[in-house]
Amino acid sequence: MRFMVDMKVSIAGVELKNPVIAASGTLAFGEEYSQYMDVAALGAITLKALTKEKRLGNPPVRIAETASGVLNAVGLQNPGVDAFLEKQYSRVKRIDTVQIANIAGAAVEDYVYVTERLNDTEIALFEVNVSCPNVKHGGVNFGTDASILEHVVSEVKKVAKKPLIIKLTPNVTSIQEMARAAKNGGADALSLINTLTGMAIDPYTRKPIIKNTTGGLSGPAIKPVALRMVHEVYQAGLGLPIIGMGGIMTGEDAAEFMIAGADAVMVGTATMRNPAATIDIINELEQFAKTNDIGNITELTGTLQLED
Amino acid sequence: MKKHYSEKVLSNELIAQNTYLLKITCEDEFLKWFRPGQFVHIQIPAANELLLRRPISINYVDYEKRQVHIAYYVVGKGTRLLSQVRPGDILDVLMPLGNGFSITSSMQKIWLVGGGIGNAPLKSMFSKYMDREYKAFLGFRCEDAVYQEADFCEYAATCVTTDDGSYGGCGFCTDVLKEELAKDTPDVILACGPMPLFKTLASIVGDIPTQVSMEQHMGCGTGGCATCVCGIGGENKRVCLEGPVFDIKEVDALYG
Repeated sequence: MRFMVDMKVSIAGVELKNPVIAASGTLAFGEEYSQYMDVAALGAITLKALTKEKRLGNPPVRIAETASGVLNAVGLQNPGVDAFLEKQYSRVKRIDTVQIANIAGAAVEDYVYVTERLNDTEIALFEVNVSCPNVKHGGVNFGTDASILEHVVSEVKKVAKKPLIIKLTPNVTSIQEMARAAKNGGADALSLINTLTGMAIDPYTRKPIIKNTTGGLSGPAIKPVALRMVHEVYQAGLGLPIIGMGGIMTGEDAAEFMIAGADAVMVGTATMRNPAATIDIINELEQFAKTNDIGNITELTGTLQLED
Repeated sequence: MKKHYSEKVLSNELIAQNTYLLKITCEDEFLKWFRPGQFVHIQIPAANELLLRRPISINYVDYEKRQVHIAYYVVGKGTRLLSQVRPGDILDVLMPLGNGFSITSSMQKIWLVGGGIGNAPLKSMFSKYMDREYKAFLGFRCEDAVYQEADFCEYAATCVTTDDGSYGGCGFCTDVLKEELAKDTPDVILACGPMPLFKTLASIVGDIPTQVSMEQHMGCGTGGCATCVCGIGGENKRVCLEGPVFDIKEVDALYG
């Protein structure tokens, strides 16, 4: 009999057919990708960030290529949660896999508003994006101050009818401290890492390539940092499911994140290179499991072998 | 609709200063969907550190030989590596992407206006609409930069200008266009080139329907990442999906 791998994983009580999730902001609302792949074959799809009000996003240039990385500053362009529900959700709903909303805001009330509006949809999980500039807190990011982070999470938790995934930013001194704050606020799962703040400069014009000056770095360039942080959060022993991400391009990369402690993974930048990258990664991860006699993909999580 | 292909390089030759013409194979499925003004998104081979594809306009499609021609200007590491691919190499290509020019049967008199490498997508009109009455206004920096003039002459009354006067008329192609517009009116103007060219166009085309092919730093090319936007009628629209061709009147940066 052919060796079968059980690829199912569970995140905060929600079962995914496999551990590979499209990261927010890389597959738009999913519809655009049906001509490149079977979107329903993904473990889950994270929708692009939604805010209370419509956002035009940053002016271009919004993207720059760096060594093994991509720098972007889209600025949360989205139609606003109300317009999304009215115009796009009916089509998004038909995608036959788990859907995760990504919730962003400039103030705590904005997060609460978006959460309440999405509560009665079929969206299974809410990913709270806590790495956006916070006007109300004097420019400090929600995600870089533990007490503010805990406050946002607890306010959203009060109204949310779906499990919360808190997406952590790597632009902090201690990722464990932020993970703990998220848990104290009521997080049901953690996803990490968001992009690393970076810059790219054109030496001939002496100008930043990205109009916003800084952008978020993603891709294989950040994978070692992401692996380290996923492992640190796993070692903190918080008992929360971890969704790892940062430069995953292959099934082996995905396996590394699971070994470091992740229960599932998100893929973003790889999709920019190859629209069907997520499907390739699912197949490669399954093949990896087969060749390593892993019958259930969850067996991989947290199996890093450390010397005494 | 299939859009992701592995295609064979047939040739890749220098045709002007820093300008190459790449010819690749294509399938019937591509030929069925292709529209002039669309683009290809090419993965740079053997360069894993360059994550992003390179979006390049389609220069010509040869239906008989089943070939896609792509003319590109070498500007950086990616296009430099692309200039080194050889016949027989395989390229990972997404195509055809974007909306392309909107051409109706009532558009008989078509004027093409281009600058530099922006002339390349204009020639793609001759892949499909050979029977129209064309005029082409092609601008280049200097004599060494001029390419495919003879190809345009085959289908269009063609006027070439160079910025320094080293070949053809001296000045911008829009100078000649302005003179011609005083004498005659086309059904539509199709343009591709740098922003200053579009700005001049915006000031001289009046009510003549004008479609411009925009350029922007691009990520996925497939509508997912929303990085390649252009301000269109107060919205940031994706150049890869809603563009690259827009009605000149809707391009925010050109008016107001």
